[in-house]
Amino acid sequence: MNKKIKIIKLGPKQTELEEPFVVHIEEKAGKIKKAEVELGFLHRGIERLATKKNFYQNLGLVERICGYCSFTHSLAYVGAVEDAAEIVSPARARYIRTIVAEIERLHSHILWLSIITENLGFKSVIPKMFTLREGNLAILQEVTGGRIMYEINTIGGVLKDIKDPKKILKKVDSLLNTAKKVKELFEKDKKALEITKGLGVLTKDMALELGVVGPTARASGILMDVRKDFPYAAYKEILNPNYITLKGGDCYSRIYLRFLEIIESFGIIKKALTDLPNGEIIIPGAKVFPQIGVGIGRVEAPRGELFHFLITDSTNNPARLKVRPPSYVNLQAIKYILEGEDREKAQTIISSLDPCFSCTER
Amino acid sequence: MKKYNLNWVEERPKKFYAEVSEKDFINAVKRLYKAKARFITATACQNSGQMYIFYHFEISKALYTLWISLKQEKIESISDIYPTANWIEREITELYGIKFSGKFLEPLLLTPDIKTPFRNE
Repeated sequence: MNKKIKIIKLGPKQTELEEPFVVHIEEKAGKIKKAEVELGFLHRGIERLATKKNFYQNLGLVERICGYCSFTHSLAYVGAVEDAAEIVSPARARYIRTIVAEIERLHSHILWLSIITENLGFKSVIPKMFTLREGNLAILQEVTGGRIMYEINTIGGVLKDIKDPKKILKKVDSLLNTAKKVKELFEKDKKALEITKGLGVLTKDMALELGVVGPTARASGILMDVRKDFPYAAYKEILNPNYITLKGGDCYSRIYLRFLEIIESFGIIKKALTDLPNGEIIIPGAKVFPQIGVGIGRVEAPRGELFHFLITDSTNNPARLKVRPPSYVNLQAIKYILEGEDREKAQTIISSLDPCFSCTER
Repeated sequence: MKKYNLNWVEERPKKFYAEVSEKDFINAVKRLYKAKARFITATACQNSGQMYIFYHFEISKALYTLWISLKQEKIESISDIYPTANWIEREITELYGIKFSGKFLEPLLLTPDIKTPFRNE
């Protein structure tokens, strides 16, 4: 066997990697000795741009940080602005935000699961996943008017109401049945288990040391979920306080956890639609007055904790907007989980972290 | 409120802010690490030529932000205590020109021909 160290550069344009980034790998005898991630292909200066626009114009800007979690970014942003301005949105608006956030989480998880199951060669599941995704996008379009960009969040509430929750509930029930069947297919598949079990292990101690968040952390046994730890929108009223966690910390755990979260999200959407309170969807006349202050918006994006920090001054523009997306932390785990693994498995391991580079680089 | 040997102001429920001097900064971070604080991120900003960095932590489901006003554009790195601080320190160096002592930090996001674009000159 060849025992020389080979340097391999994966990316930025590579069919193995879905997004533009580079992984520098040192390989010896077929095993990865060292891996480093290189960024810098998608940086758009969003944070700088945000200081050139006023608080309302930034609602459209932050949605364009990412396509998978556009609503989540606008939810974190309005959370930060409403925190700085001490505005509390009406209950109906908070329920609608919860519903859209969970449908977006479903969309993100379903799309990612389609990609990773294709990587694993689990082709029978892919058509069902795309049917599920299409049903999801149709609900998003009905509720918000958009399939990827929604622009219904505003400071002090939401801009669009859910007129017929029962109609949406019927569609959600039908999608839930499909989702359960797909989950069962995955559970029964021994090949998927064989390929992913024990692969790319991120131990609990390492996950805590690195501060990873979201499903990546929960798949390593860490009890962490912003919806439960620091409830926002309507999660305090709706959510079951139990955490969904697994202990394996491997690729299988990270994949299977998302199936479990899909089922949980359907439950949250159904409860929110059933319990949707009457009332206004926006505070009439809510306005952000220029004042010096700070605000924090923190939400559970599909990939984990999304953190927006806002500094305001005596102008109508933010003095500073800091966005810390979940993938920014989770990607730093790549160099640890790739070490010692086979070079051919690198794509599956990296994909199992569900990285989003649009968010990471802003 | 005095906790971890720092004076915290609770600006909002469960969101605490404390100013720390450059001299006490690393010891303050070590005390938070001992208290099992999770490092979230750091925010650099500039106001009328003065540079600030806000360090955000979570302890027991509450948010603690340490902020520091820099006399020179240089501060000690915390990535020996919190390894995940490595990327954000590289980013702050690139975007604002603030240097972190004790390490050579490779660029994270920008090509070599772009220098400190977030800085107001």
